Amino acid sequence: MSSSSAFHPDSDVHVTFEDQQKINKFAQFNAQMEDCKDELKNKQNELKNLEDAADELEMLLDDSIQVPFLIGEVFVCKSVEDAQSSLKESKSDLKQSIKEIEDKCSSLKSTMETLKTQLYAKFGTHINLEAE
Amino acid sequence: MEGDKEIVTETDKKKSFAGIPEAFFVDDVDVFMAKPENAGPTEAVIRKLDEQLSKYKFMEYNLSSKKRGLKSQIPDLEKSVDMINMLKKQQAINSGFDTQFLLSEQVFMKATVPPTDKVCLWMGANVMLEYTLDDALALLKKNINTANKNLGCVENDLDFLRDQITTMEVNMARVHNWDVKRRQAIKATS
Repeated sequence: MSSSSAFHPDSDVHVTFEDQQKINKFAQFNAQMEDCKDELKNKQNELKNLEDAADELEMLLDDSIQVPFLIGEVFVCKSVEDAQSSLKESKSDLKQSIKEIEDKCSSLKSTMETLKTQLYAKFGTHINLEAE
Repeated sequence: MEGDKEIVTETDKKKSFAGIPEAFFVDDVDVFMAKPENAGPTEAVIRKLDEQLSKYKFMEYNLSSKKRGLKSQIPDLEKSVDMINMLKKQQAINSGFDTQFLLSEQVFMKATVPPTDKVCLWMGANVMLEYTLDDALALLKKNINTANKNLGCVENDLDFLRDQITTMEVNMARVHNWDVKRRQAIKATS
């Protein structure tokens, strides 16, 4: 906490109940945003792994061999064709959920921007709403 | 009666499920500090607020770990669903398939799985039950739904808790600022 000699030029800005609610909402959205970002990163990693796997499969010269395909904790031997179609399926599922998260992210962002302008308009430099 | 219930859930929607107490909002710091229970030094008041804040933080920590648990549980269940779907497919074409399954960490064994219509689900507490594929699928889907619902509750509680934490933080900052101003005023007059 700042020392008691810190300069508070106009520190009697009154916080109303509504302001408090807005600050709360902002903090809540901010936390949700962090969650979304984490999840997005995980999913994008997963997608990249799937794409790498698909590329590797493409490079196989012999199409008749069986490839072990991981389901849960078990590798199931599949034909190349089967493995490719399974990969494709998981990829499109993943892309779908990535899109959903991105949509959520952008809607959170716009709500946060609105709250930010309102709060900055009221409190000016007395409030800091920037992410660290 | 039914109608009454609905009104209650409507107003309680944003409230917590776990009975988390709501943080009080300080409307006017002067009035708040003039209360008899806050008559002592400002530090004591701030300490009291801080105590409540750390209680909220503790609850947040517990809920977060609960959330993490649920979040890791859901993909596991979904993987089991994938596996059962795979077994069903194999059963439909009536052919077995080769697998390599985890025997222990870093050790895999080869096994051929014949077409099957039964599967054993791990119930926990050293209990495993045999189900038909369809029953197992239904049970897993039910579990996924329950997990998702619980996750929703926990997330709602976390949001609620965050509100209380923010309110407390703002309260503390305002009491602190109020104190700073008061000290400056005393200094100016002396």
